Amino acid sequence: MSRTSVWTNTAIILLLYLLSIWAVTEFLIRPRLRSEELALALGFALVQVTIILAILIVLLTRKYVFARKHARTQRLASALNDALARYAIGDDRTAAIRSLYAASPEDVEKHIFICLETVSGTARDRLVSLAHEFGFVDKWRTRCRTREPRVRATALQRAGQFLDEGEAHDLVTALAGEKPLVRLQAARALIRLGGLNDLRDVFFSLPEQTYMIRAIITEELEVHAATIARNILPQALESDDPLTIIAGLDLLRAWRRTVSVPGLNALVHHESEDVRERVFQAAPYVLESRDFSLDDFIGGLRDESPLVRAAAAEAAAKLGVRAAADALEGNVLDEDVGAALAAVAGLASLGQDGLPRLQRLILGSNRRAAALAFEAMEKQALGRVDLS
Amino acid sequence: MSAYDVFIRVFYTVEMLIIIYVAVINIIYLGLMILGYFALRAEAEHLEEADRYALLGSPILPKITVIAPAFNEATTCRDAVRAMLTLRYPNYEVIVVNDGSTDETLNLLVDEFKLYRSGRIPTGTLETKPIRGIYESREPIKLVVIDKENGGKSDSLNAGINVARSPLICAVDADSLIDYEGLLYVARPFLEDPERTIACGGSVRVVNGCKVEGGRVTEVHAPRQMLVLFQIVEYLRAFLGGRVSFSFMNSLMLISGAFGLFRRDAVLEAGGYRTSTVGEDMELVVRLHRLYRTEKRDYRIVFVPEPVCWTEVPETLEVLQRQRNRWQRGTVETVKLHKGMLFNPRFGNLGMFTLPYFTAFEMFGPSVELLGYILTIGGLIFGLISVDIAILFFVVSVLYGIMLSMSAVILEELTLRRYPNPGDVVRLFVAGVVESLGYRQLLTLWRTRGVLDGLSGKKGWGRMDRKGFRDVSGGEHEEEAPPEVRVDAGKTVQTAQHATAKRQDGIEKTTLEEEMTVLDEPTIIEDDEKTVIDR
Repeated sequence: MSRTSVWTNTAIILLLYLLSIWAVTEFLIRPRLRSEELALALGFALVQVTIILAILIVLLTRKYVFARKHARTQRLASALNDALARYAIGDDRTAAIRSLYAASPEDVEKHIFICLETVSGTARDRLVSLAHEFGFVDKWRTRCRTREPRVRATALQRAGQFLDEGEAHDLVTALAGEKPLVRLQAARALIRLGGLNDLRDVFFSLPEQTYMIRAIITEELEVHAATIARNILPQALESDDPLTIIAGLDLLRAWRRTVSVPGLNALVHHESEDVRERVFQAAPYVLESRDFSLDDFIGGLRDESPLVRAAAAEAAAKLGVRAAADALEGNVLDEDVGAALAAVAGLASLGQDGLPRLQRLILGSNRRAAALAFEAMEKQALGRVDLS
Repeated sequence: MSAYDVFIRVFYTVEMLIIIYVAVINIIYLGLMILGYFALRAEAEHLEEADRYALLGSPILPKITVIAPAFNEATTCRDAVRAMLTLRYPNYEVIVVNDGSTDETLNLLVDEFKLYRSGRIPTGTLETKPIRGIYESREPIKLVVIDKENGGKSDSLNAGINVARSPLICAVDADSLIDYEGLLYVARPFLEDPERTIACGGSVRVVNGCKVEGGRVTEVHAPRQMLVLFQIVEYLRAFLGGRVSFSFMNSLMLISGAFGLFRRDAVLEAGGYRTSTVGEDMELVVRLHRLYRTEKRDYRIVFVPEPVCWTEVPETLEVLQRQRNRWQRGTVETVKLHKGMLFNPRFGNLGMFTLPYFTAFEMFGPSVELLGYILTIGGLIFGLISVDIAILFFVVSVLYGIMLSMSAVILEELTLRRYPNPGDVVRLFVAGVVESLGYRQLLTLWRTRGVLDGLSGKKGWGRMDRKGFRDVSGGEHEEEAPPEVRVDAGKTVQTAQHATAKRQDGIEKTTLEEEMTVLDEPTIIEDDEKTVIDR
């Protein structure tokens, strides 16, 4: 629902209120009362009380129905899970499942989808055929195109269990949908399909997603980390769009697993400071981190952006670039606190190459540098150096 | 026309104006609730458990620092901190600010969480009362305790902001219970729109009557005490009606002091919390609006309807009176400080609608309503107004009030449905009806007093007695035994403590090697109020 619809709906409801109040006042109350003001006030009150009572009755009825449904679900859950599990491993439980379906079709539907997410192979095939038999598959495929976001998101989530790689058109369309949660479910379904094109579609949609959805999808893409690193990231990192590059680098940063991404160091000179920052953040997690030269780190530590300086300091520390210690020491005097903190943390984690420098800073004349250096040494002594 | 006739006419006019005024308040509130309902529906995209789980694994979520000021919280501080340390968010740190407590708060925290005096320094620029020491845990938990001289809640929050190093800071009350997933809920707007979002608040819910286990609300129930039920209805009305709508219009004026997430750089730029007001939470939010709108920066201050925090509301009239007096004074002070924004189109919806609404209705509303009660009853007794007019006044004030309260309960049921038991909903409805028959009038009286106190510049918070959260697994908090002298091992940590103490006192500089030698012997660090013996 857009902002305009929110305002429009509010205006319509208020208008309906006014009309109802006018009608009730004019035809019901005024004939019985002399005071016009009082009639109007009572008209308003009568309309409002009627609406409240009507909604109240609906709500309480709904609550009651929900409570009964919930109780039924609880009652059936155990028998249903048992029947489906046995059916999946080959037992003929069709009759039991049918009788449960007669009692509560929604519960059977829900549990089939839950079971589907946990099984594979023949067991999965049996459950899929059961879902076909009950008509769930067609139902959710149709609903994949509905306009109601919540229904569509659920439909994508469920239909995604049955689609083959060639049938992913609806999912790809939904990736560019209006609602983030619809996009998320579409991405999930595509990730589950796991084909290279599906993963590519998901990856190249990342720059369009909100940060939250990106964070979730990034985590879920991790199961295909090797495929993505080999086939998609090289293309992404060569993109002209900084957002695409950032999406790729964020994957590396979030996964924190070592993958091969040749040519990453070339991006340290990228014009976008966000890209430069992310390159240093991702550097410790690529096999080719050895391709980063000392000059790359020195350049990063002297970058105009404090975020890049901080990221370069952390990368140098994580990769144990001892030769960068002098530059790190210089950065402790950085006027940006974040960059200075990263520099002291970097020195602290470099061990014997960094600690004497920190001691020197503690005894130096710059009070802030001395304090930060002291704190870093303290953290190092506790084994708690704060590298993000 | 005689003087008496003039008096009668003036009296009648004033009475009618008050009736119109009260009717307008209630109608605006109804309009806000309808708007709130559609806004809630528009933004109701709840994350499923699987989504939240995936988010929790993400290291790219921004780091948050939870800042909890504590003054004489010895009874509850350990449980509160323990609960804060187990929140569902991947990357956060807790800073407890001991605001010059005169009880055992600091020692209990030091003892419980194995704190050492750390060399961490504040990097923020806000002015605060002197910090006596900063403590961190030796254990792998992200806890920092700031010990400072007493300066009040705002001063403590400012000290916490100075010491924090994350891009987002979350100001909380140490005596509130943060919802297990509260940080995830409230961080969401920052993830969806990181560039524009500068602050976010959420629904504060009443914990009285709920089941609390291990510092978490596990079952939501409405209590049986009417006074608490009245306050629950009030909270629902304020949070689900007003704040959702104001947030929708990007003119949210209040993020509850019990729980609010802010961008640290924005708060530092705005100058932090103002220490000279009792409504520091509202004042900061209005100042942020002012700053960003003055500089024509694109921003948003957001309210999320999910319950992010649970608070214990007063169960006695005496405490409630003090609380409401303080809230009203806070509103008065904020409006006085920012009166330049009133009806100023430069400040958009905030200047043209929300602030005037707060001034006319939230600030002066109770006083006008009280005047209405007095004039109506007096007018009726002395025959100055007709019975019809008196009925009219009570219809627009009492009956409309009842309907608003019932609408708030309905809104809760239509949207969030946090009370699963139908009996609780019925109880809230009953409270919504009864609330307007005595309780509301009492509040009107107290709030009028608050307005007068606020206009006369009265300061002070007043005492808030709390029972502490009942924990079914552990019962109520037991009285703590006095802490024993702590003997810690670990030479490197002692080194750090000693050196920090010296550096902060500005006595002398020694090399680390020298300090290592010194610390082979037990070291006594003199603090302002206590002596900690380390070995």
